[in-house]
Amino acid sequence: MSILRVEQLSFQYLQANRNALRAVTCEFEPGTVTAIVGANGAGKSTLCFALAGFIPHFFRGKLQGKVYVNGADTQQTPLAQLVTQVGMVFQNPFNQISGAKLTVSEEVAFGLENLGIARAEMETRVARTLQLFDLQHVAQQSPFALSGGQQQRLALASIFIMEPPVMILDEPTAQLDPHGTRQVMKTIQTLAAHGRTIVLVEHKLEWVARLAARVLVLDKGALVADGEPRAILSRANAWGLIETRYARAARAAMERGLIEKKELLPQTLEQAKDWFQIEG
Amino acid sequence: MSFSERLQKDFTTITLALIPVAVVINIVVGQIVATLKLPIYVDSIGTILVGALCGPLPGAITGAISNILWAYITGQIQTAPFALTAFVIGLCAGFFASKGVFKNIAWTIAAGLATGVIAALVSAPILVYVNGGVTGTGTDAIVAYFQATGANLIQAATIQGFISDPIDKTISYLIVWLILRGMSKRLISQFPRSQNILTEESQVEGTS
Amino acid sequence: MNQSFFLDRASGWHALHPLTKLAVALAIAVTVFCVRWNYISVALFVFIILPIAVWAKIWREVLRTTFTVILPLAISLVLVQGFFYPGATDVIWQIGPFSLKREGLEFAFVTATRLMVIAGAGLLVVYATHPADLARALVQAGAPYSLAYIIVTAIQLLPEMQARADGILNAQQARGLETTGSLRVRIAAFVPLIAPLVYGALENVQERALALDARAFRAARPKTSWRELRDSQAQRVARVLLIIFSILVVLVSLQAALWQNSPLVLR
Ligand SMILES: Nc1ncnc2c1ncn2[C@@H]1O[C@H](COP(=O)(O)OP(=O)(O)OP(=O)(O)O)[C@@H](O)[C@H]1O
Ligand SMILES: [Mg+2]
Repeated sequence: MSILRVEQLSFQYLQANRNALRAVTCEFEPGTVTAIVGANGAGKSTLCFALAGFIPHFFRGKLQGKVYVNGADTQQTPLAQLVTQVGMVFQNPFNQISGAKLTVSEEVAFGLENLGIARAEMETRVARTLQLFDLQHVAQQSPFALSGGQQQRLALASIFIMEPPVMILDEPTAQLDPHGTRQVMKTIQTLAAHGRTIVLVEHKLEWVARLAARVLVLDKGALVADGEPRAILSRANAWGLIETRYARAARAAMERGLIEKKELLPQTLEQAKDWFQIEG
Repeated sequence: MSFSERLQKDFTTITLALIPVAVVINIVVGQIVATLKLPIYVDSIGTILVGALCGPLPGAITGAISNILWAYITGQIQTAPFALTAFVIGLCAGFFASKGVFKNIAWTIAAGLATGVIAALVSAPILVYVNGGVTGTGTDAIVAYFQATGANLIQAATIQGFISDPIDKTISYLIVWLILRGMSKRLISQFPRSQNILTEESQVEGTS
Repeated sequence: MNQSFFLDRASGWHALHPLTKLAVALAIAVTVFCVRWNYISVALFVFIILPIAVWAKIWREVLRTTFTVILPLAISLVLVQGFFYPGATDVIWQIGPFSLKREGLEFAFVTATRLMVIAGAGLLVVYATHPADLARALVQAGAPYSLAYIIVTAIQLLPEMQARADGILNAQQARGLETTGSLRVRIAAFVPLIAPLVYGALENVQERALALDARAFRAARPKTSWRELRDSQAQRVARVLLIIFSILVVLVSLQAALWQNSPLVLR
């Protein structure tokens, strides 16, 4: 059974004159990594907010359709209860530091405090989580003293520790340099290896191709494609996305007539090696 | 709506996220004004902003905490009792905003003046009882003049407040009015008292 | 600028529960306001505040800050109240048209020394207590959790925002903005300085709120705490006694006129 189900979901923000989501229907299987791509303003963040319950519990507006998390209707479930089912990580690492805590350990424990988890249990979970996110050596530092990449891993850890089966990551590397991006992407792979269901919004399609087993494309609020990454990313231009450098190289080769035209373009280094060796 | 319902509606998570940011705005803007050696304080922008966007009590709490934190970090412990004035300024801002004063610049000025008068009235007894009527700054000359010409301590302190507070609070209200103009409707609409600022709010249907 | 005055030193006073230190400061402040004796402040400062400051190894800082903070007020008090205290008649020194009077000087002395005690007592708490511990202690004593959140977050965001303000100041000056000169010039400089700062901060508020909600900040169930404050039965008793003492001082001073046969005191 799918762990997340979206049925005919439409949403219009208060103060907006058109729908940010239009009749979106999709499902997510447990333990999978799904990427959501789309141009700016396509509605990716809005879909994430709906999946995590921030719509309707945080954002006001006109909502139609349903979202079910593990069979429970998000509109009927309080947010504080939903967050143990669906965790969400945002773009800006700085904004996700609660500010109320002086050390990284305390910051990681913040969610558990709010959930009223007993101290002993908190200690084991914090130790385990810091280890997993490679933050144990900065455990006693101030969260504000960390690098961007470390802060974003801290944000991931702070959500992970609440043990939601689903984690929604909305452009978690948008504010990071390549080094920080690599750190965070590696962490996301670890999460997936731990069986978490992951929904990742990401502009850098190289990473989408490497991490995701499935890609959804949003365009002006509508779900316009849903399927296997390579097939979908090969049509990236059609939705105004920036294709991977491998696809770009392949397209250039095809346009110059070096290689005959093909539908499926390479999206990862492995695929590119394959594609160019066999065809060229 | 009952008082406690109103409180719950005002203290949303976004209100709680805004208050510490507003406290810091109060302190940092106050420091910038001091750096530029402007003849005003303008240390309650954040307080007025929270009053306008989130309601009187959030505004009041922003003011009081700013003041106490200021005393804490600068060691000026004796300024802590003026947290009461800051509290009242936040209440005033929230009250006047709920009457729609920030929709109109003339009303904004009037509310600033009124808040200044009220702030002076609240400060004067504290100034007399705690500080013996002086602030340790140039405005003490005003106090000396009025005492020399027959005013008692509380009268002199009140007059001194009437001279400086209304101007200061009017400038602060105007700055907040400007800030609110520059904020996107989208952002304003996230706050519990957004209808204080936005003129026509689109009709919302229930979400459940 | 100092982000917080907390001085992390190993002392018995530092190790006390924040509320115990706060109760001591409160009792001192109440006493200094209620007791009608001109030298109560000096006595409290010398016999209570200073010994504690020495015990806490912070006496240098307490003395220095107390005097730098109080000095301008003391000077103003002598100049304003020494010369212009309403109703004062006992002239002790005449210069030109102005006369220094005994009642005014007395008032200036009492007020200035009282401010000195308020500052000193406050600094005993401030220098020896991390604000985050104070906030946590207040929550423990029944204050809403959001109060601690606001205080600690503001303290931690302050240096970040100050750094940003410095950045903006430098950037604007590099672009030719003048921040010194005539009043007109400085007022014109004000808006370009604060606008990016304020809008930058406001932009972040929505994401900060979402991130808090994502961590069950508003969950209705009782919260647990990762860090615990050291407390003891003796301190709990001491706090209760200090509070009772403070209340008694207030009541006694309210009934000072009836001191001998006040029913409240006798009971
Ligand atoms: N709070 C809001 N109020 C009103 N309209 C909004 C709000 N948030 C987003 N919108 C609008 O809804 C639409 C979808 O926005 P959304 O943020 O979901 O897009 P996105 O795909 O995440 O874009 P980006 O890549 O820029 O993050 C856009 O037209 C946007 O302007
Ligand atoms: Mg987005």
